[in-house]
Amino acid sequence: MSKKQKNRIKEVIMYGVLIVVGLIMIYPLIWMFFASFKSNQEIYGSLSILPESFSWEAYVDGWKGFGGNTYAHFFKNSFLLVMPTTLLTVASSALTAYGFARFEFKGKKLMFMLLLSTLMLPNAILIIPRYSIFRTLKVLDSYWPFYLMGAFACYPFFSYMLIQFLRGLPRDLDESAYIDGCGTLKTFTHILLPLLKPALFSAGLLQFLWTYNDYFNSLIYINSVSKYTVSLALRLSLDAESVVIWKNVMAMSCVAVLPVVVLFFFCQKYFVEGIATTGLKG
Amino acid sequence: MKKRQVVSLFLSAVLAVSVLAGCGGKEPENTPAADGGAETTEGTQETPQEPSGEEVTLRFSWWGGDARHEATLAVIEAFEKEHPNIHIEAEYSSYDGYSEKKTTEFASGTAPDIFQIETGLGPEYYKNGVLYNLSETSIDWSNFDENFLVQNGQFGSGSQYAIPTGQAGSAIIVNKTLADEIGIDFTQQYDWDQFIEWGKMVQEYDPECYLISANTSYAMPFFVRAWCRQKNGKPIMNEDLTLNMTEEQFTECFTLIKELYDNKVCAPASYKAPFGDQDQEDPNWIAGKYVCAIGYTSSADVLSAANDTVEYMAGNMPVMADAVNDGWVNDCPQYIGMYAKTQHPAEAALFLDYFYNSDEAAKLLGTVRSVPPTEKARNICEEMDALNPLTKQSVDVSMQYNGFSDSGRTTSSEVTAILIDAYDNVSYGQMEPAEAAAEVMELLNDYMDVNR
Amino acid sequence: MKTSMNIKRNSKAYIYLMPWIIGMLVLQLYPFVVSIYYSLCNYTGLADPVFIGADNYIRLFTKDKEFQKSLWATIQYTLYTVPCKIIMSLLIAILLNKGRKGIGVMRTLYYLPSLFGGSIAVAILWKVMFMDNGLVNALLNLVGIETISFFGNPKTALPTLSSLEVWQFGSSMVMFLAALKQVPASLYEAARIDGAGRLRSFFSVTIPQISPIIFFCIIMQTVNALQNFTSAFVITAGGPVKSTYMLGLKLYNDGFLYNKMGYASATSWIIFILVVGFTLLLFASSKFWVFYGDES
Repeated sequence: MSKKQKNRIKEVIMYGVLIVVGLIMIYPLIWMFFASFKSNQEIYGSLSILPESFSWEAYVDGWKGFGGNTYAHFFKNSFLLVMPTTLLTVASSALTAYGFARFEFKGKKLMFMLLLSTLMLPNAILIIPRYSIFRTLKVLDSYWPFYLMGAFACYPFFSYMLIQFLRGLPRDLDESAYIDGCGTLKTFTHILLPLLKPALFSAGLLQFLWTYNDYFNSLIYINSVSKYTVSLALRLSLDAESVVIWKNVMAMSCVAVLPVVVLFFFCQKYFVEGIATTGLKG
Repeated sequence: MKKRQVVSLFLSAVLAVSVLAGCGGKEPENTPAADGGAETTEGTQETPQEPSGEEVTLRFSWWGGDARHEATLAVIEAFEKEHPNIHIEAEYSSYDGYSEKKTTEFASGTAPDIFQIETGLGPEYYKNGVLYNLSETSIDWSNFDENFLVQNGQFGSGSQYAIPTGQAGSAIIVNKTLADEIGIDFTQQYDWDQFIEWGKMVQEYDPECYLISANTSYAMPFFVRAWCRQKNGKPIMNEDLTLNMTEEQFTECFTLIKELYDNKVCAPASYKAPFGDQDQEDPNWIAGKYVCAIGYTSSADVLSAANDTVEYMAGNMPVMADAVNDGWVNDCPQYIGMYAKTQHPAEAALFLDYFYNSDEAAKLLGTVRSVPPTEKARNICEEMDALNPLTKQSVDVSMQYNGFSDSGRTTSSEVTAILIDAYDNVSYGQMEPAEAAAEVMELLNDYMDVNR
Repeated sequence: MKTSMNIKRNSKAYIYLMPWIIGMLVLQLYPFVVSIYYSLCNYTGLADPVFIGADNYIRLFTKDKEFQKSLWATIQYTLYTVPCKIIMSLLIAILLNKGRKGIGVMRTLYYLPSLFGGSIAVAILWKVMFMDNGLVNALLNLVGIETISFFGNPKTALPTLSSLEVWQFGSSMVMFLAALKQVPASLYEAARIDGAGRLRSFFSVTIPQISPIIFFCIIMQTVNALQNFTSAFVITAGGPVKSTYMLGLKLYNDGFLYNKMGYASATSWIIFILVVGFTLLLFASSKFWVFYGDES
């Protein structure tokens, strides 16, 4: 009885801490939401988080977008860019990870070092030569640079991440699959991939988010405003020389973050799944 | 047997791919900026080409905010109506990353036919031969003030390589309500030391108030570059990479800056830092605690919009007693130019001519790129009442002066960064004026060595 | 028999690696090699590069005082952010790993800051929160602490910027959550039967089991911190008095603002060597504490 009570108190404290810290974490979103109702003077000049008045005008105004393209259009573009890129990245990175984590072959060490080294050179310096490659391939002003980078595992972060997750799985699994007569492909798709589900989801989630939020690469490769994504559109009205109506920017920032919040909420349950449902016996 | 097959398959794939990569790699290296600069481009454009009347697509890129995007799109539409065979693709974005994208495009030879140019990068672009010689096109220059064109966009070449988009000079935007209350009169002619006296008056009036809201990126050109123009009648650095400003002069100038901060004439540098060059975001500006802000004529709009409870005016500018030249000048907020490798120079020039000279465009553009550069467009704006009275007043004030532009080496991004660092070091009290002056000399000399 | 099967199997690796190999050769290798070449050139990005040998590197180490300052700021930033971020995300991942009620909402809450990335809204929020007359100082004043110019004082700007980075710990948290799910429940069961308490099973089961991912996160966070560009670019622009002018920002400015692309390339190769050095150290240490499920 007393142990149960003790557990209960512990649980309450745990929740308390989680909620308080959680509130600090969520404060920016709350602030941003309320800022979408504030005038510029209020945003910078007042400490109060609540606005003086509520009106949805910023959302209506902001949604109209630019040059005849509403935010509905920018959202469509974002998903057209992000979805295929994410799926291709996860697929190609998983294959690469499998190749590196489960096979011994000539040049493995060298190739692995190459993989790692591509992580380590700052991106800014690669922009110009990479751009010229995509120019030669005639894919500028389209989403193909991103698709190609995804399809050919050019995001070494994810390849390396999945290698690490795969290496966490015992090799006995493969061996017993081989004994059961599975080929390497079947072992991969039927035995290892299901176990890798939490890692695949977190890789997909991160890639989705990073591509969705990416500003500089999108700006470089995309010229036409009709192909702009949300992250590009959000900054379109920012200009030091003219009066920026911040509440419109805030309103659209709130709308822009919604899809990823929802996505995360639905994805997070897959982190919880994994072993429990696939029934790996240690 | 099988192994060998796999290996040979692999090797041939590698070979095929590396050939592909070779194409992907080497070709652009030969092409970018192949015609190395102004000389080569001249050869290809001896006479102004006539527009051919064929279907042509041009690309035009700029940065800006909502109003500028809308107005520019409207001009493009109006132009396309008049010239149905020319289609213009608008590539607009915010300022962030704009010049990065331009550099990338120049390196690969894919820059747009027409583009907006940051003033600091203009000379650099010209030197590297990415700009088209506009003097050899059919653009009509008669609406422009000739001297204004010479000072803005010729880069000392005698030919127009970029067209100023508007007029913008340094300006002092005064919170007249507060200034009157304290008894400070910005309509008189005064010198730099007057600031310190006034600043003390403001602090006596209310220790929470300051005379000047100064952010580093606006204050440096104001207190250092203009100071040098007055002192020497020359820019800090000449185009032939020699210095006009001496170490003693730097020390003198920095001593003035140090006094401004020591006497709390300017708001503390550490207080202003988070706002960058966005003075209108400073709560103290919004609350009306500054007598004036140092900025440009183009800041009048944003600064007055941030706090509309007080009255504003454009103040006179300080001039030192023994000034060689009064130093204050109208230059421009940005340029527009054409790409040296454009396939359709005649059509692009046709558009620029329309953009700068037609009534229609002047009406549509209003003041989205500051006060228009031509007299004609200014009159149209005035007729439409498009000019903010405060902006107009600040331009009028700046017209009183007869300074000269120091645009060129002195305003290049790198020299600007060196000067701004020195300003920071002095305003933060990290360095004594003499120390900062010695460092500036060292860095500027190094810059000149590298660029020689 | 077994070895020949193994050889046959292993040769298939190339098939799985084919997309990566193609990507490497077509999209990655050329930018890589060409940037080495640029680092040996006077290259503006606007005109053709001119070969100048090792001048850029010599200049970096002998003439460029800013470089040393930047390097030091970068290392400080890395030392502040990486340990804090790893510990924080690991702790929170463990707390959020249990099947509590409403835990999904909690996980989402904790991930929220990372959703914003370097967005403009975050930049403004942090300015407004940390300015002299902002919320944080108002709270400090309430408890009697004097106003601190968080982003205005050269001494506090870097730690403040680091705290923003730590606040966005979500990506490591997600990976830890995924890793925790890979730990077989039977191991905990076995530990309990052996009489291990919660703390001991944490150190003897959890940590070794997820060590490959901890290792991965440390490497990635270190790489990111050493290359950090976004937060300094968006919030402080390197100031005040260059106190947050980290290498990532310096090379960006050198390359794209001052048109010294060759010099920037040289800087990034220095960053590269720095990152490789850190990574090799970590790899060397990994023998002692990283446990892979595929090794016996």
